[in-house]
Amino acid sequence: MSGQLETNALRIELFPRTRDLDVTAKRLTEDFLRENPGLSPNAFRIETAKAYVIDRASEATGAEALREAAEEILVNAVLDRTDESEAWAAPAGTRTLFVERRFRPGMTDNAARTLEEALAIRLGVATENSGLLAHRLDLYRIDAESAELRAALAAFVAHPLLHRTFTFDGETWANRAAVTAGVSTASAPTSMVGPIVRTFAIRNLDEAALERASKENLWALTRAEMLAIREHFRALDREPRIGEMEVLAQTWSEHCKHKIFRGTIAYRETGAEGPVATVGGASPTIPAETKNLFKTTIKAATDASPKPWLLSVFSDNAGIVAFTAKDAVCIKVETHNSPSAIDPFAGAITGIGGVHRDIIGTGFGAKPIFNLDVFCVAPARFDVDRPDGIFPPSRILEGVRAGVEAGGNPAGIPTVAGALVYDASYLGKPLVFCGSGGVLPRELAKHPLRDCAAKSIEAGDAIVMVGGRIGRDGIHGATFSSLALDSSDASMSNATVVQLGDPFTQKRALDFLLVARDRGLYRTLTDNGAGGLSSSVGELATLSNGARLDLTDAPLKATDLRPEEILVSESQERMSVAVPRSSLPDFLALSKTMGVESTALGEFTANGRFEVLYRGETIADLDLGFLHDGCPELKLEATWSPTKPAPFPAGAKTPKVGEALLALLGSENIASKESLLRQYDHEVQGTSLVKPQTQIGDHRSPNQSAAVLVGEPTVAGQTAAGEVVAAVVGVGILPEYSRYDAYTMAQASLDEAVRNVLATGAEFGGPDAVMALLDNFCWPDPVSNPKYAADLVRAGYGLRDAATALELPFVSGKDSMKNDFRGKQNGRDVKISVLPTVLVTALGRIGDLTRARSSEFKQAGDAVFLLGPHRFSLLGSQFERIGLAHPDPRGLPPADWAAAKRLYAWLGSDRSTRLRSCADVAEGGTLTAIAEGLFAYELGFEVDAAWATEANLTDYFGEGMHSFVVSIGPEHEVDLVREWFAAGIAFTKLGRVTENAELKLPKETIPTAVLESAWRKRP
Amino acid sequence: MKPTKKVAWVLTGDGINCEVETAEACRAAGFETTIFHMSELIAKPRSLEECSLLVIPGGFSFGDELGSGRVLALKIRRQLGWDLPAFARAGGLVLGICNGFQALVALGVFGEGVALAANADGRFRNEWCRLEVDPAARKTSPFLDALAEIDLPIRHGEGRLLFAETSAVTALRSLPALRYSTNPNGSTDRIAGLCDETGRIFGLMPHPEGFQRASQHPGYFRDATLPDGPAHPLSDGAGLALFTNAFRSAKPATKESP
Repeated sequence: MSGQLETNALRIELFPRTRDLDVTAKRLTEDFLRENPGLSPNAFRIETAKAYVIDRASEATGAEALREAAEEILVNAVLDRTDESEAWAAPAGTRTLFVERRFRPGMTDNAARTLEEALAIRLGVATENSGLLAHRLDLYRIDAESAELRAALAAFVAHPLLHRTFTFDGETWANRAAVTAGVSTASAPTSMVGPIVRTFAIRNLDEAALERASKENLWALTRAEMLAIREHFRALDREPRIGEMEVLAQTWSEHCKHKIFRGTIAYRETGAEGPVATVGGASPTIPAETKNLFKTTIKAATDASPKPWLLSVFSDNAGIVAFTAKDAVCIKVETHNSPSAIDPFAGAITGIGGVHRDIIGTGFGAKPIFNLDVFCVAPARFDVDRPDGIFPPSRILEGVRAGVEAGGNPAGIPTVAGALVYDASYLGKPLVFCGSGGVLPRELAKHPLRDCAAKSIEAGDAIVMVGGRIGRDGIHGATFSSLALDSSDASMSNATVVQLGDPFTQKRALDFLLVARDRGLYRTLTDNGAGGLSSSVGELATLSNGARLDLTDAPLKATDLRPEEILVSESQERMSVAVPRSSLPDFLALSKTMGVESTALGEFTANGRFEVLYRGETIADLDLGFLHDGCPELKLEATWSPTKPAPFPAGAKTPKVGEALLALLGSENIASKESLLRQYDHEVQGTSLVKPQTQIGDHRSPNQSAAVLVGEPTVAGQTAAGEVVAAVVGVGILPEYSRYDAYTMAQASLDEAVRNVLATGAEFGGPDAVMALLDNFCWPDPVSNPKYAADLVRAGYGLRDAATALELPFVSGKDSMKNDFRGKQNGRDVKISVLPTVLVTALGRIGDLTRARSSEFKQAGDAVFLLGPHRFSLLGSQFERIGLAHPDPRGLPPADWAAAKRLYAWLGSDRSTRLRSCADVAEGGTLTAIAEGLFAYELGFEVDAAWATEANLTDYFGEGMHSFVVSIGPEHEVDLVREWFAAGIAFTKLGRVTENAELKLPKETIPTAVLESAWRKRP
Repeated sequence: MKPTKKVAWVLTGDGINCEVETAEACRAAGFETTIFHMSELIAKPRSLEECSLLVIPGGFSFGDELGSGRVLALKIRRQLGWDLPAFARAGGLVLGICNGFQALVALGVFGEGVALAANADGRFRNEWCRLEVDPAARKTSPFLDALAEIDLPIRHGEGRLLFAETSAVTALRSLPALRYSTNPNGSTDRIAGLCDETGRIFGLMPHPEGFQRASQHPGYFRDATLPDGPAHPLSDGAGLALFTNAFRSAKPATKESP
């Protein structure tokens, strides 16, 4: 067979017709220069081309017919050449290196699959019968004087875990097709190695051997867990099958089980002075022992604030919230840190794709309507100065950005909100948060479950896998991501943990599932994410109390997969669906019509067991009770001792106000993130109400959060009140405060998320105002470090106290625990742990669309006020972070939840429609918020004399909770001031918007254009 | 019974993703509108005579693999067998938006020597642009009737319109219809949209359905503070004009749906 494949292969190469069209080369060059700042752009030249190889497994299609069809499909006469004569014409000398790159066998090759489908369409045959197997190749021509540079570029264009590369010189290049002709057969069908059922002899292993086995097999099970498994099988008087060990390892992984949050944590404080004094704030009382931090803090906050609109919290893939009489909105935020460290693009695309499947699999199925993404990375200065074996932070940032783009844009889901946080602590492991919201009808008469939040399965329902095929990609992802990254460890070079996404296959599957939902063809569903079928079916099995999963017919990408690999593979784009027997034929028929692969793999049962079969043999048979409740509880020690801020350096000169403002606007955490957000489609679906930035011609002002419409597609102007509302989504992430106190960090992050959605017009106050929170914890290992455990406890209680005070429920959350890196730099051991980081996401509602607002100033003459109990501090601020000296005597900014509630209730009511703009005071403080409001319409600002006399650096640049900069038409000034006074809302007049495009401070005047350029980092 | 309805068909499936809002704009303009999944049309072939306006919306058909719009075009040609120029000559209207425009270009309805390449900087871009309507095209194409200038969002990675070195615009079976006031993607002559010689087939990279409501425009919140500004976030947006123009000149479907 392999011989046939070689001789029948057709190879078509496509060279850009002109160099100007080679944008891949353009971007590679930019990326390479960014990572090598000292290098001259003239030191090298890179050119790219594409090639496709098509193998014919049979003579069904003649060679000539195939060539004609392939050329018609592939060659664009205006853009491509099929011979290299022009674009690659320069004679290859000794300074030229050619590289051919292709995917490793079993990796997702979207272009090749599309070509196979297109060829089948063109030849008029069914794809599965065409006998054609395509491969996409990328070709590079590298010219550089130095051999070292050539090698560096050749390494730069490929990722060793995803690609195989072949290099050529000028002479061998001519024979490239012959040289690599046989390579594609490496992925030709082979069969599985070894017997179907293998066992793991656990009963006689001692503790050391148990630990060793756990590590060698990438199970990430602790000694206590291995012991529990050993005892379970001793009691059963048999050895576990490998399949059973894999299922247990995946189900009990920190990633899936959240053992730390559910464990028992003993907490104590050391140090005489107590916590960093907060100005007027009380230090929290933390219990000496916390059993189940999740229940005690996050869930306790939700229980404390019952709301009529909460439809489903914590139990499903995403929390579900009623938005209108007809529609509900669900929301989920995930992290994909470990995969993104190994391959940023693949890590992020699978992160966003995975959270889309969470949404699709929520309730009886939802349609994703927005994305959010938050990245925490190290500053670019670490591109050069970094430990061995990790990527330069710029490459990580560009990779994860591109991954979210590739996962979000083709899926037709607008990416509307996000954040980017730079800190050196993210050098070892970046944090990549991917979130998505979806809409689903609250009731569907035709659906077997009717109610969107109901989730049930009946014994006898078929288990159906829908979407992509199973490959070797993503085996052990769940257990792998529960470990610290270790550059010396085999885990870093373990190709199977990397997966690639295929948004197109997923989009087709989503389109199909929504039609199937509306026709009532299935009962319930969930996604295949971490742990693959083992996890999805294992979890669904709890609904019917059992499942018999038969992997025999599972569609595969690699035919040599062992059954336990099929079981835990995390290959993307797959959903597991429970289909009533009576609907199965219709479900499968619709799937086929819509070009989606669906396969029945056994059935749900009620016998309390999770059974897995393969070719008639049992590869796993576990008691569901042991599987889900047998994992031993974790015990942690937590010790907290407060960190004192560094003293103000003697003789340090404090900066001038204008100088500090320009430095802050251009600083990495504040500067415009436009280069990211313009590359995301943030308007698809046509629901955009408030965009991430206000773009007016060539001017930009940032918005605090984004809003999208929710409701039936409407004919403009004919919509009844309340039928169309808006969902507002905002995030808060202030890890900087973790240097001092994670309690304040968590509270400030929550407050910022809430303020962000309030600024955009979200409603607040009373049981009917819809606002829900999500929490995502990304932590350094709290198990081995009592300080991090203490930070975790403090952050948990910080969130609980803030959410309870504001009466806001959490609806969903996720944690990622071992965000540490161990490696070497310049021969020395290094360990890098992320700052304890909480991301809070707020989902708000704008019931009356006229309440929506943006952040930029609108009209000259408008009065500008600071609203809220502004007890600001420079401690933990961006001002401090960028190294500006300050003699700030204060501690961390305190919370005043009573004052906050009064203000938020006013902002979240109809009374606030008189505001022309609203921005929260966040990174960079009050003056930064004012400056950002000037850009869009090239307006100016004149500071109020009374405020200016009093104001110092803390007033201008201090950060803290609860405050906003707002502008109002002069006609409302008197009545609003009266109203705020009466409502007990603190306010300060800051100044007035002016026609003259300049910021007028008491001693300095800065043109708006200069401020905008600083913020946009334009020369 | 003689059919009198003005019917719009909006294609979907295979990665098209703007069908819902595009159908919404068609309905707002007055069309009786149906969203058709490609697989549905392939399984049960239909004649174009059953519709007045065919819209191929935006999206990422086939993930943009093998060149944006090209596999979708192949599928339309081979599996639906539709002859769009003949449909236009018979009075039908065809609108291709973004990925739909890319598919129309790949189908060759604007001539052979034209292509949409990757944006000059190699990056996807979502941004609002001011567009100028070509005076000649305004006279030819019913879609552009009485329009001079319009703001619309672009959202594409492959919108750089290029002509084969040998072919001049005049030699093509098409007219430049819209031009960007700036040039966000490096297109020849800043061209953002084309219409065929009848003017009844119109394709453009920007998204007119993305400005069917006033609040979709980034300047809405200031415009709303002006005395003559939009009254409500759901008030009509300027992009709707292309659809209402189409409705005005559309002929009722010549064949009743079975």
